[in-house]
Amino acid sequence: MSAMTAPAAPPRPGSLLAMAGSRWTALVLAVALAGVYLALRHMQGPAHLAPSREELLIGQSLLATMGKMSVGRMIAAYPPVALAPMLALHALTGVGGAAAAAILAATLGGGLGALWFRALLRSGYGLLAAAGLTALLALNPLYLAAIAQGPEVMLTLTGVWLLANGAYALRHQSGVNDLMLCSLALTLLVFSGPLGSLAALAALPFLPLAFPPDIRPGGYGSVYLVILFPVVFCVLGFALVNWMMLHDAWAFLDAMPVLSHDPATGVWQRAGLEMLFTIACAPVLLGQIILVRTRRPVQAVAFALLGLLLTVVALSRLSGTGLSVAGLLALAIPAAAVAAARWPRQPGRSPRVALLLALGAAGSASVLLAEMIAIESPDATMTRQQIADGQLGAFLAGHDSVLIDGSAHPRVVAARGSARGLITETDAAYGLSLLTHRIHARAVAVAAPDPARTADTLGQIMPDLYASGQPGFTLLYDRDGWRVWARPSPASQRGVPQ
Amino acid sequence: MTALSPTDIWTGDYLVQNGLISLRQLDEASELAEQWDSSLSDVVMARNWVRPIHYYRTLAERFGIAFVDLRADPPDAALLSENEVELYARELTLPWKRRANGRMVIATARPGPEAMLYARRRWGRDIEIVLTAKFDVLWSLQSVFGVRHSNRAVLELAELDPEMSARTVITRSQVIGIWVLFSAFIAGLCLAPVATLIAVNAVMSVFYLGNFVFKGVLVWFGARRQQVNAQALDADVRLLRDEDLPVFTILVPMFKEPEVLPILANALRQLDYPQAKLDIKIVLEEGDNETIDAAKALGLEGIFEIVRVPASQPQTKPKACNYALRYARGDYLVIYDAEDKPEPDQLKKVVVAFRQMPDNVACIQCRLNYYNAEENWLTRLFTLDYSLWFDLMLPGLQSLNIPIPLGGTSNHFKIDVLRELRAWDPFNVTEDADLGIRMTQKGYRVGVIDATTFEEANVSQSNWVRQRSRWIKGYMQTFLVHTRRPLHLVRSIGPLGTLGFVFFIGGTMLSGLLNPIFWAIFAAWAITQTSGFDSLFPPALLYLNLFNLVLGNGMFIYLMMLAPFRRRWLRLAPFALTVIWYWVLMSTAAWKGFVQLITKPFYWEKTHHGLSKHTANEVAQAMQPQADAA
Repeated sequence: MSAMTAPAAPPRPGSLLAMAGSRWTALVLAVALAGVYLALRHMQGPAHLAPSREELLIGQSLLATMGKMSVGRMIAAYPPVALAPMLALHALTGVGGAAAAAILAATLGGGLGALWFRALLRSGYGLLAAAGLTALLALNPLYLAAIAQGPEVMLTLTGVWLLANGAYALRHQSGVNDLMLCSLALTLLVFSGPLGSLAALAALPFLPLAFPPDIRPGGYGSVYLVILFPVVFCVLGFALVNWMMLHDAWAFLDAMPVLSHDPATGVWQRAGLEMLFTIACAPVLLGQIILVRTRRPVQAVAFALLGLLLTVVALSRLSGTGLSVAGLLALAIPAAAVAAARWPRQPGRSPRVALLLALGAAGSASVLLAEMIAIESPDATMTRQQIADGQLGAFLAGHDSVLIDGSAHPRVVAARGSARGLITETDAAYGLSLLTHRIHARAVAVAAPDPARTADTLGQIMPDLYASGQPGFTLLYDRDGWRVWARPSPASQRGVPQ
Repeated sequence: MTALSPTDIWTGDYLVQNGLISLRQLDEASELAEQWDSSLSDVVMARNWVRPIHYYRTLAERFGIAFVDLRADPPDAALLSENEVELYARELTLPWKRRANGRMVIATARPGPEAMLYARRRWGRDIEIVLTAKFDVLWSLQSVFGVRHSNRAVLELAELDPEMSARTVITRSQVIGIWVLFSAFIAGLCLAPVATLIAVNAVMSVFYLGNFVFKGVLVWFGARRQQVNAQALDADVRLLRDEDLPVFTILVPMFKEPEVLPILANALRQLDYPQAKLDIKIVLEEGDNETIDAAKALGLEGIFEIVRVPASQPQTKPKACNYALRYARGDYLVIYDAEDKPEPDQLKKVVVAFRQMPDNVACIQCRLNYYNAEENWLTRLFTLDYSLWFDLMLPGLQSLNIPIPLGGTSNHFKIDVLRELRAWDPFNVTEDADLGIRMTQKGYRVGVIDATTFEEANVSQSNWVRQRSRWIKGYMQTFLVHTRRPLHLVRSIGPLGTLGFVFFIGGTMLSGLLNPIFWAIFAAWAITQTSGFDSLFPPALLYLNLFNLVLGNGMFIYLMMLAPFRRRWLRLAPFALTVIWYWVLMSTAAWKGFVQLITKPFYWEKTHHGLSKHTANEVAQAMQPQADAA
């Protein structure tokens, strides 16, 4: 066994090192880090660096936990691996919505930090070195920004961390577990959200660099098949579930960001700049490629990971997904953590890796600062629909008995802060309204018919609803593709925003 | 290296002097005897340089004692004790006659001071020694005790440890339990049909979920550290010295399989183990003349011995093995099937593994796989199935301390433990699986090592279904036997072991039975889009069922894909996508086994070997050295 992954000599039982490497220490560290992250998030407020998808998730969870989303939609909701723990947390503790998202993101952040610490200890770093390197990773500004973006991004980071671990191990040890780890990581990435899906896609061309060296190119097809089968099967399975539940196999794709077919000018320059940012955030990968020339397996996987990160950024920018820059660049942090742990043992390893991670933290801080300066206002990074949904949600906060296709517009629910008082697909009045084409509620919120927007069932079933409302209903709200029609009542005699 | 004994030196010289072996052969035999710490005569016989009858007659001449042909002049049965048969077989020495003057005459096939000392210690100083042939000693023992041993081979476990025997297929308490469950089900159907069906559906769904989660966990744990363990074992094997190796008994039960005998003989000759320390017993049924004749015609070396099992019912492999066990002389014992090709260093790896593992490890299971994997679709799928089972799942069971159902062959036992446990249950048609579980219940453990035996994969689907139906029926028998005393089971193998046993043995057979039912429901629903099933699938259950349908099936396909990775048989991986038909075959076999459990519980559904076109090549290759020699 080479020095690359040879386990360190087991520490003396009862020694400080043994205690530090124990599961209990990891658990305590995870909880402590999660607490720190929660506190930071509370102080920082919502992330304004980029359009966050957290509201989607919060809206879905509010609908689901308040019984306003059908079981079918719940099962078919994307991303399932982010929604399921939110619902579980609510079921266990009663905490839901934004608080659940914050707790989940902080917990994932703390857990990853603790796992990095443990991995560094197990790969032979001393206690102080491991703690220092973990601090450089776990307090990296980009990592903090990722935690602020919610569970989706954190699950994607977890997926990248698993993939990086699997890739190094597969190249070096060639075990079945390593192959399974890669499959698991890619599946997690695809089901963690659009960012993760993009990362999984970007990983594909670089996978052969992680294949065991004794596999000839003729066998690559089979290895690809084995690694990708769970991903493809789960996607097809999810499509089947969508078809069974929603009669539309690809309904879950609605949750994906709309690709821009008309790239803005300067997009190439922007993509190039963000690729440079990526390198600045993860110099440890570049360092591994340059400084660890004698260890081909390490070098090859470091190259693969760097290639993955650069491809994700380029793909995102060139396809116009509008994904958060902070989220994209944060993928470098778990990759750097694995690279640090897998750095071959050699004299001077700790200071060298620490320097590279410190450079990465400084790079991250600079990149974030530059981005924050470039962003004039929080709204500047959001799409029109996101802004409109947010405004409608805020408007509806004071209204009850509002008929709305909540599952199609979870951001509205998230911005409203609660699903209580909304009449959605699980309510009899909603079904009755669709059947009779008569609104059985005090008010109805309906989106403008627009192919570029998420399908609104109310608008589809009652095509004139947006334009004309219903007999006896007056227009209460009309802004950016949303209208709220309401029965005239003293409570609804408020100003109609135009 | 141990120097040759003076007896061996004299014997060697005498054999050369009489022209039975050449000087070159003597040199080689002497060298091997020293290297193996064996007697010169064992080496000479193992090499087949001398016909046994000439050898023993010459030896008698050399020692100046009489040679007796026990087949013509059998021993006095009254002098033989059934309890000492194993001793007679091991020492190749038995009391033959008592002279008129009361002096005991001892017949031995191991002449020399050691035999003399042993005989005096055992039968007193006033004895007379005569020489006989090794085969005559074993033949005599079988002649005298064959019928009794055959009866004991069948009934010993059932009479002395009835709770552990499958002779009673299902006990009264199990019948009552099943009757209560069935009655409750019928009553439920009458009183609250929907709720009852939902409850049944829920139980089955949870079972499915547990089954596939359990198997995923097994594969994960089974695959961990395999490479490191294999390297450590290899390193220790290289340090082994031949002289430290014990005598190893190899049992090869066969029935009407003359065509594969040359493959087996050739494979056993290739074993990297001192031949003089091999005690190979080809176990044949008394009436199976074609295989007996084929074995004789092969002119096998002295290390091979034919054991004929007296005809009796049930005529099963475990009964034959129990019978042959009486005459085994080794410290360890392994079973190979007729068409097996063990890796040459397998026995040495087993010896090392026994020394490395804790004392309570009483059996080492080696991996099984196929040499004709690429012959057709079925052999490919069968290879994937076996790779998953032996390369990943069994090591997983070992890691998690869950009872391991032994595979059909290549299980190596400590012979004293095997005898203590009364060996195999002849009423169980997967006697090895049963023995693995019984061992764990009795406080022993089974180890799994990275050494493979290659076999002939079934090439015909009907033959495969026959074979698999027997296995599944045997699993049902094993499950019924070991759940007779549930509390005892939990106490002896622990909660995790019990859960593992339920999912591994119970899950394998039950999923085969249940799958067609769920497939039919899904197909009916998908084709007709009927809402008739809606009431049976409340939301939570629907979610669970969908999860099982999608992830469960996907995971089983994925595990099949992973299976060939360790051996780098990557060309097989895509065939895992076609596993659904394999599952259909499996369900067919499961239902066949289930029906047979009720109608013919002890019937041994024979698998026909030698159907593969590879087998013809193997036979030709195996016969080549003899053809060259001729």
